[in-house]
Amino acid sequence: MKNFVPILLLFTFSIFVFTPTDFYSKNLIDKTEVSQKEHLAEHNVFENPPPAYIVTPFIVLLLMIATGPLFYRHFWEHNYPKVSIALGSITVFYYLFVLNDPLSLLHTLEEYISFIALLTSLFVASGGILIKIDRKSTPIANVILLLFGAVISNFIGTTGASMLLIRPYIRMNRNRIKPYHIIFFIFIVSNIGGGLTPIGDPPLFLGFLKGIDFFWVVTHIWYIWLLTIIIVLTIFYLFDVNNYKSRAYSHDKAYTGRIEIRGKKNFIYLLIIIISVFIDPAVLNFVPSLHPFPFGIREIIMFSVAFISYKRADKEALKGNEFDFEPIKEVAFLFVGIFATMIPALQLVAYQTHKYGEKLTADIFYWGTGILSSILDNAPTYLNFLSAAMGKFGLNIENFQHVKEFETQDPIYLMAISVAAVFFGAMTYIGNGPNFMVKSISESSGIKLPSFFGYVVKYSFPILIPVFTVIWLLFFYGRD
Amino acid sequence: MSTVKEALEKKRNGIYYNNRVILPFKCEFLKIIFEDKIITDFSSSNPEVEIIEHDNFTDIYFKRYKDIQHEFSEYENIKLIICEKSEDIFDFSKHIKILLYIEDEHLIRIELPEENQIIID
Repeated sequence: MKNFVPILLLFTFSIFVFTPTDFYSKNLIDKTEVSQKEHLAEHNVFENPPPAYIVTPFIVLLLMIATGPLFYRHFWEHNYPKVSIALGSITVFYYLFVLNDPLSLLHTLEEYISFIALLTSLFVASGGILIKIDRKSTPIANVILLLFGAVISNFIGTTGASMLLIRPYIRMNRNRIKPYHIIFFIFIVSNIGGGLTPIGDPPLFLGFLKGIDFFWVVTHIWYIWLLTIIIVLTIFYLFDVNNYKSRAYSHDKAYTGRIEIRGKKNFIYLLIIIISVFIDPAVLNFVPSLHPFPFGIREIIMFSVAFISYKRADKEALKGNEFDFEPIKEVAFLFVGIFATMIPALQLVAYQTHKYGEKLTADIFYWGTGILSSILDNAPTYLNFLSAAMGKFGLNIENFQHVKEFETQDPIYLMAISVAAVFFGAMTYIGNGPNFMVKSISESSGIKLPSFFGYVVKYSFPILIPVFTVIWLLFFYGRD
Repeated sequence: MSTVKEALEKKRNGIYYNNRVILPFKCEFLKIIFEDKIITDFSSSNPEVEIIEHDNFTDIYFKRYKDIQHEFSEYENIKLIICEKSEDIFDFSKHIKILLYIEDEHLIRIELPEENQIIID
């Protein structure tokens, strides 16, 4: 696998290198011009969307992610980096040399680097913390742990919370663990939980960078979040009570009730990562931009913290967590392909939402954002639907004041988009970055989890879709 | 022939060459966890592994791999759930969980899991 890392770096930076030099020189001279170019590119997409057939690599990649581990596992395990990069290269080549549109690629590269910097740093820093919980795995104890995970995912991100808690959760349930334990963990801690703050989930973070107030989400969504968490936890509780009662356990083990933590210093690293989230020229005026480079000071801090926290980590904590870079490598390789190949898919979504913006209601924004967030990355999906919703009122997402106006005047659309983008990430293993990591860690502990389709058919459809339908009926149905 | 218990007490190492793992004991295999792959089929038609017993040791061939050395980091391991030949395989309390750490110079370090290391039976 390590042989592929240079290929990944080569691939990502080739986008940077192949971008025409005059684009950078203009960028360096005048940032306003970039903004105008962005608008121009946006209008070009609205007037001349990419042809539908260029979405083929994206569809092929999604199908292979879904079917690879199921039907041709060995090939997939050894070749998914090549497949992901090869399919991504088709789209990159098309945008560079056919559409002559390096701007879309560069924006995507920036988003990818931000995405992977945040995930990597949270993954590595939380991987050096070992939590031991010596408590009996009663259904109530599990509910409390999942609720705790949902709350802290708003402070350390769904990735950080997932990495921190998945192993103690498995350890606590080691005598009676079933696939549903992990699936509900993905639902609650890796996705829905992170719906209250911009740190919780990447789409909300992108909204924050565009100008949405940091506390807007929690003040407008907390009751939807709370109701959803209560419903999903109640369903989990019913599952767990059933499992708990139906199995014969040896109840003679004495539990101390203690919670022991190793690698506490890594909480400082986590704090640095969280603070660095705000180190962005769009948030703090004094932060210098590193344009034309496709990353900023924030990403440099995050990668540095990842490196330092790994080098200085408590070895016993790493051993207890069986720390390995494989899960983050898997995410890095798969998502470089996903980010590249989904550019035309997102542009077609932008085109359609712009074209039919007038007719779009909160219902459509909710389900549209949700369904697409299940299989596309939820961050750019969120931005496209936000752009379309603002377009309904003649507002521009690139204008900070317009965003402020939109969040106060028409909150229902932003609520629908925010809720759907975060919650529906739980629908598939690829809906959100931590889902795959939790799956990988659980399987390496010996827990057999359902396939891609098994997850959707056995759990997402029967559990999440009814819950999300209730949320839609209560809060968004007929609201426009 | 060494039992699992004797091998653990004497802290005997295993060895590996490419995809061949050689364990210094004989046992009944119940589950092998190789990365995130859970192997429970030890029949001759299984495309994942082949187990060959010798008088004093046991071979495991991971048939999907050319060389297992690069598959594991410093903190990762191959997990085995096994049972002594002489013990009752139907008694879960007799099942033994062991970890195989891939080291340099063809060595495999064999350890019992620590309290916080997870292997689900």
